[in-house]
Amino acid sequence: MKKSGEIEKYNHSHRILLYDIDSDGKCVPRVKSPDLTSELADEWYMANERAWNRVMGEIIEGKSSPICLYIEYHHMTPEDTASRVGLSVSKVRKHMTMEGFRKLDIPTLEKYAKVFNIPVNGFFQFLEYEGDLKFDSKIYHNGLIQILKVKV
Amino acid sequence: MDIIQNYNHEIGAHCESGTLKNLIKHEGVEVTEKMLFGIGSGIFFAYLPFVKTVSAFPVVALRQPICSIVKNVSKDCGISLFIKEFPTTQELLKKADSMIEAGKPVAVSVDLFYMDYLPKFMQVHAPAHFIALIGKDENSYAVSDPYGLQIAKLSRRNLELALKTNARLAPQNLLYFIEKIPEKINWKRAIVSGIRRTTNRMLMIPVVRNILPFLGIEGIKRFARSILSWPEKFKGFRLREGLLFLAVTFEEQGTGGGAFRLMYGAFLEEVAQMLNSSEFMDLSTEMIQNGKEWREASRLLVKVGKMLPVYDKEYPDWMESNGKILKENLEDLSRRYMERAECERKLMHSLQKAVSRI
Repeated sequence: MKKSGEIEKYNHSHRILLYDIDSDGKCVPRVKSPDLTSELADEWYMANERAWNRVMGEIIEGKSSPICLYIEYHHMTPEDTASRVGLSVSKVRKHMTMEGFRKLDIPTLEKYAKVFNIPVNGFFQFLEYEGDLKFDSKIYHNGLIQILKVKV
Repeated sequence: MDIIQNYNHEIGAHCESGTLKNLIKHEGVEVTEKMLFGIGSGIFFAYLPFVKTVSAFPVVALRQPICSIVKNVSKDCGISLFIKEFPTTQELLKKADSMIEAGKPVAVSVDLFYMDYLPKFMQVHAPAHFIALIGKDENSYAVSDPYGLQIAKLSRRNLELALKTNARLAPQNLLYFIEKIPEKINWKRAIVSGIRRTTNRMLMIPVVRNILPFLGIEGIKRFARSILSWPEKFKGFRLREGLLFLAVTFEEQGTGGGAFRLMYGAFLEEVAQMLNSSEFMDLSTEMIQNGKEWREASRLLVKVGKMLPVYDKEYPDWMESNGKILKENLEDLSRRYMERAECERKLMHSLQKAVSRI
């Protein structure tokens, strides 16, 4: 679920342990903000947003499928996805097209849903919202059924 | 939520050595992460252009196979471990629950993607992350993750998804915990064994080196040479993303910085102090300097990556006017990594000699 027009931003709160040289020339571990990551995190979110918008456009045109959307959004490859879902790479490539997506059965969709950590309905419905809504999602039967409560 | 008493969570540089350190310290043994990392032969290099995961860029592995630090430390320090890949997630969780109830923290290998307490940009499909489970209630677990400052909470559902991913090269349903720890660990013997193994794997005997030229020092050289061909293989945003992702991998994705070389230098420093050895102190200084050079190279990777256009459609024009600068920068990077390979070859030979004198 996405808030219309909002791109995720890194809040710079994360800390990691990095080794550094202290004033005595010793190599010591220090808890620090990750410099490179901080510099690049927002670019990462922007890239995800671009991938989302591009593939969503392709879905609407009937060129790509929601499987393709999540593979690209999560920076995965068909090879890695195939291994996780237990299918051949060529099958996954087929499912990345709208034509192949139409032929998918529910058990296979459930496998994909686990990999992308979404409920199965996440392949069929893309909710966008405006304003400050709150959501309470409960999923059942390994993501096959989702009950979504929207609080205004 | 019930959490195991007296468990002291500490942040770590690397998930495998950080989790192991927290578990060993819970057993009452004072030890540093760098010491376990060094004994466990954590430092390595593998350039695997035939394996593609995130962003289709070739995979560079800076560490030994998953769980090898744990197994090496166990062997060299005489620590008895229960370690098992369970056939099903439910069996693993049953074992984990019983151990937590008995006051014993357990470590598991999980996919980072499902660790929803981490920042979103870290939630990528990386299926060999180590965490400790230190408490539970009906629907969730208390997690001691070395990549976090605080103890985190993870839902049972997400943990289940993270334990068995079917991802390539990743363990499935892997759990370990410490069964028995010796009253007195022979650190000196463990250090000698750890350094020998590290140098053997980085240098490799000539026959093995020829068969596996993408591992160890040869791997660094191959990686350095390959950089020059990247603009032909990867174009536009893919090249930009690949370069930036590599820099973060070397520097800030659980390496302690400088592609693990700084932590290994700190390990050698601790060894020098323990053995009162000026020879090891000199070697640690060299390794730390080597780590700093890796860090500088990562910064250059970022600089080069950020030069490239974000939009693919701009790439052909950009290459026409900036192709020469890109080539020069990639040549600089290639040269730097070649220098690292040569530096580490010499360092590993010196370490081999130094360790034979202990």
